[in-house]
Amino acid sequence: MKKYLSIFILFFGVVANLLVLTPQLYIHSQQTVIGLILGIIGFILAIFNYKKGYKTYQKIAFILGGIISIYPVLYFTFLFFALG
Amino acid sequence: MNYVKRIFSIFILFIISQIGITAFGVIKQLSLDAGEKNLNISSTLVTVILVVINILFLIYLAKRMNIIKTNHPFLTKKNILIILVATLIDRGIAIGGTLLLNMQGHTTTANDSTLIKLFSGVSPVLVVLLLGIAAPIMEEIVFRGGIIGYLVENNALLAILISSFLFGIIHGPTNFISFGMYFFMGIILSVSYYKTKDLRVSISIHFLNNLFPAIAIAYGLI
Repeated sequence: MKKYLSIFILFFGVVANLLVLTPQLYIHSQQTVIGLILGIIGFILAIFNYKKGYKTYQKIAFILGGIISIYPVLYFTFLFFALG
Repeated sequence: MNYVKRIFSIFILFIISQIGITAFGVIKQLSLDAGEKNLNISSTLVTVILVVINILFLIYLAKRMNIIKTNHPFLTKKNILIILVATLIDRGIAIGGTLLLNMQGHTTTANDSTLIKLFSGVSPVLVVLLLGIAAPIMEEIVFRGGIIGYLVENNALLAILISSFLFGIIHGPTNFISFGMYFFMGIILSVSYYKTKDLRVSISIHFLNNLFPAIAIAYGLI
């Protein structure tokens, strides 16, 4: 499981982006909430696992995964904050 | 007689504060009439220069009328705290009001939807300058400095209410929620100004409050 954790986090990030930011895949409004939860989980997992002693390529994957996961969350937060 | 003179002065200040945005509206309309969807670089540059001159002239007048006082420290701990808290409350009111409007079937306020239409195809620099910088400075000089600090300076409650009421009206509300939104935002700005007696504080709150929507409009995110 630990071996595939970095791929798992990257996958979380990609799914979060697809659910929140891809208009072509926008089917139901609830998918935004699921996408945001996935993004937050992916980001938290990336941060916690980065501190543990993993190999360099895995650390790079954690950083990438963290950025990809948090991007839709930050975008959504910004849009929400810009309302009105 | 003194009151008549003061009301006239504030009215003149208000008219002057509208020159920049009116010039932008005219230039934008001329550009649309010429078949250009996007405002070209020369029109943008002319508008930026006009708006900057307009801001500087209004600040000059406000200083002459003693509305803006810069003889005391601005970035104190107290002021920074007031700016942050008031900005969060103002944003909360704006977000809450917009969500309430959404529940009633309106996408946004009439004011915001006009701004979104007006600023489509306009350089992000100009959008941020007009919405994020010019509007806060001009509205604060007229509504807070002009009405609270100059026109009705001896009755705080009345001054705050008049200022907030006019602030609400001027944003073109179409229903009670949109009026309430701007009215309560005006109350927060007015109280911040009244408590600090520093127009720079309410300008900063208004600037931070407008900055996020301005960026979102500038880049077509909303």
